[in-house]
Amino acid sequence: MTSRFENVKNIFIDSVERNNYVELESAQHNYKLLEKSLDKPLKMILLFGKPGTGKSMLLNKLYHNLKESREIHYFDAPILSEKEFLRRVYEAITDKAVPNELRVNFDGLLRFCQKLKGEREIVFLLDECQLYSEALMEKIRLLSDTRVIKFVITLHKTENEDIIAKQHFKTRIWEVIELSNASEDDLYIYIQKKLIQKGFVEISNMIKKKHIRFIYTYTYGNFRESNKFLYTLFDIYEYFDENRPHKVSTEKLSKKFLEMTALKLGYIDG
Amino acid sequence: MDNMRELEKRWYFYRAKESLRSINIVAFMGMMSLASYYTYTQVDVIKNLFNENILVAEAKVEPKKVTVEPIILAKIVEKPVEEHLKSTKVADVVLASKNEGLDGSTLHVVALEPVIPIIDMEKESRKVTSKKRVYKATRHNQTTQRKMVKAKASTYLTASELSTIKHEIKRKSRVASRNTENIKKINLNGSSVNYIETMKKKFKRSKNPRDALLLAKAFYEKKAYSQSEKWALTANKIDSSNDESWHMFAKSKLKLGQKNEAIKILESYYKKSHSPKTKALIVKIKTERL
Repeated sequence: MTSRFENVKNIFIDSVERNNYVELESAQHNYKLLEKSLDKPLKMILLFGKPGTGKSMLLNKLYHNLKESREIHYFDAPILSEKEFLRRVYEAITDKAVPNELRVNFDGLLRFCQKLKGEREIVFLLDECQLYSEALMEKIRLLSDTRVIKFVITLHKTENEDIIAKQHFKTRIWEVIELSNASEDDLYIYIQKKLIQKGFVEISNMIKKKHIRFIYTYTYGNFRESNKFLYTLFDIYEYFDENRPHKVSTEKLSKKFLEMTALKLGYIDG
Repeated sequence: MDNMRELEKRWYFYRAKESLRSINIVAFMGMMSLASYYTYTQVDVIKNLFNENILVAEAKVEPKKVTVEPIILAKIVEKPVEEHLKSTKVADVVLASKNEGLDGSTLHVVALEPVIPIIDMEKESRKVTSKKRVYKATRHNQTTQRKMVKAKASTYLTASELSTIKHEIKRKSRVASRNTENIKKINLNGSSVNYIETMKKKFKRSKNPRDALLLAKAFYEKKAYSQSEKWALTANKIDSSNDESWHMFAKSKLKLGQKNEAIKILESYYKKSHSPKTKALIVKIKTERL
C-alpha cells in the first residue's frame, strides 16, 4: 500500500521543470526585468545569486516563454569543451549539424556572426557559467561584441565568481539581475502554491505560518534547501503513515516530524 | 526503516536535552530573581543603617540644648511624661494624685496636659476623660471638704473659727490656682521641645516604631513637616504595616505641597491594606477637606 505522502514528497524534488515554476511576486519582478533587458541593445546579461535562489528556473521559464517569438537557445548544462561549445553555437545559428570529423573554427564563426549583423539577433542562455574556463569566457565575450549574439549567463555568488563578474565582464555586462532567497512570507506562498498546484489542498491546510517560521529558521528561504526540507519531512510522514498511522495527524504538521527533519538534515544536533 | 528508528531515538534524545536546557534557564532566572531580591533587601538594610547613623549624630548634638533649660522644669516635665508613657492605666495616675493631695495632684496633671495633645489623638481623648475624672475627683474632694467643714461648723466650731477656716481655704485655693496658671504657661512654652528631645532619646534606646511615629506627630503639630515626614518614614521602615505611619507620611507630603505624591502613596498602600481609614484619608485629601 502506498502512502498518500509519497506523491506529496515528490513535488519537492529539486528540478527546473517549467510546470514546477511557482509565481512569486519577487520572481515575477525579476522575470520582467530580464525580459525588458533582452529588448535593450545589451551584449550580456548576468543573473547573479546564491545557489538555490531560482536562477535556473528563471532561465528555463524565459526560454519556454520566448522560444516561439524569438531566436533563443538554452544550454542548461555547462559545455566544458571549447570545441563542443563552438560546435553547439554554430549548429544553433545555422541549424545545420556539423560532421564529427570536422571542428568549428572560432575566427570563422566570428566572421560569420559579423556578416549577420543587423539581420539577426540570437539569444543564448548559459546556465552555470562559473564552470566555464576563462579562455572560453573570453571567446563568449568576443562573440557578444558582434552584437548578433546576446548572452544571458548565470553565475553563483561566491567570492571567485564575484571577481569574474566584476573584472572579466566589467565592460560588457550592462545588466546585472541579482536574485536572493525568499522572505518568510514568500516561502509560505511558495509552499502553499506548490501543493495546491498539484492538488494537495488538504496538506497545504496542514501547514501554518509557525511551521514556515520553523523551516525558514534553518533554510533562510533558500528554495533548494526548503524543497529538500519538505521532501525529507514528507518522507518521514510517509514512513509513519505506512508503519504507525495512528501517529499521523492530518490536522496540522507535527512538531516532532519537523524536528526530526531538522535533525536528519543536520540543522540541529541530536 | 532502521534509519527512521534511529532518527526517532535521536529526536527523543534531542527533546530531553531541550527540556533540560529549559529547566536550566528557568532555574537560572529564579536564582537571579532571588539574588536581586536579596540585594534589594540588603540595600534597604544599609539605608537603615545610614539613617540610624544620622539619628545618632543628631542625638549627640541635642543634649546641649537641654542643658540650657532650667533643670527643675525639665525634671518636672520629664518625669510625668515618662511615667505617662510607661503607664497604661490612667486610673493609677488619678489614684496617685489623690494620695499626694490637692496641690501635688494638680502639678502632675497640669504638667502632662500640654504634652498629651501633641503625643497622640487617641490618648488625648483618653486623657480628656481622665482629666474629667480628676476634675470630678477634685471637685468631689472639695465638695466633701466643704461638706466636712460645714459639718464641723455646725457641730464643733464657733462662727469666728469657721470664718477663719473659710478664709484660709479661699486663700489656699487662690494660691493654688495662681501656681497652676504659672506652670501651665511654662509647660506650654517648653514642653514640646523637651518632649521631642525626650522622645528622640527614647527612640534611640528602644528603636520602637511607635516612638518614631509620636515624634512624627509632634513635628507635624509644630508644622515642621519635613521633620514629620522623615520620622514617619523612619517609623514606616521599621513597621510598614502600621496605618498611622503611612497616614502621617502622606499628610506631611500634603503639607509640603506634594498632594499628588501623597495621594499616590496612600493609594498604593490602600491596594495592599484595604484600610477604610486610608480610604477616608484619600477622599479627604482629594476633596481638600484636610
